[in-house]
Amino acid sequence: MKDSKPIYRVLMPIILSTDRLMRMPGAIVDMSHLPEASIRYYVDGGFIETADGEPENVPQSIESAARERDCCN
Amino acid sequence: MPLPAGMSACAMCVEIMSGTTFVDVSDSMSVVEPPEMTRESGEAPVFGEDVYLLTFGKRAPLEVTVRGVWAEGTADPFYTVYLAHTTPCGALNAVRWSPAGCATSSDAFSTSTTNSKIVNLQFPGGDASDGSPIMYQFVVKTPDLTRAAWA
Repeated sequence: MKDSKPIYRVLMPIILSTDRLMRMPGAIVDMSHLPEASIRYYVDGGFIETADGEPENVPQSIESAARERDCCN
Repeated sequence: MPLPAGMSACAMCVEIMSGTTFVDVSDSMSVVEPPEMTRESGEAPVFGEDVYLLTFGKRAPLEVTVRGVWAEGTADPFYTVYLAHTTPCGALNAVRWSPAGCATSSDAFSTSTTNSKIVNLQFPGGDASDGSPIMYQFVVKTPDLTRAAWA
């Protein structure tokens, strides 16, 4: 069993029941308030992905945060 | 094909932003009118085709209308809404609702947490012929609605 807290990167918006705040895609969150089975549910559902080794709330780099602007014809 | 797991609004949870946090105000709120998310569009017929030519633009801002049961006391959500609305230039105020309740894995729909404000506040009033609870209503305008999951 790992000693470190389960750290994950948000892929789809989630609301953490610990502080009732919404985390947007890219945020690094601590999911230690949930049992492993529940964490698996969110990983399998595409809400979060593992981000082991990354400190919590690491801001996105400019490159990863940039996105192509939709073109409206 | 099995029937979908439908639900009523019996267990719905409603929260409003107070400062920088969300507060559960389900005990005071009575109605969240379902907002409509629309996209600007245009159309023009052309002589050479039997169907119209369509063009599409941006998604329009949304308005979420919430009705609450008014009660005395500054701890009542009405005062949170009133203060946010009467703050100069309006204070940031978001509303969020979860049809299945504010519980892990339930869906939640939220106005922007960075740029949504109250644009209309209907004060509690009264009708001597009416025995119904006194209600108030507020409208939150937002550039977008986000669907999130409780975790």
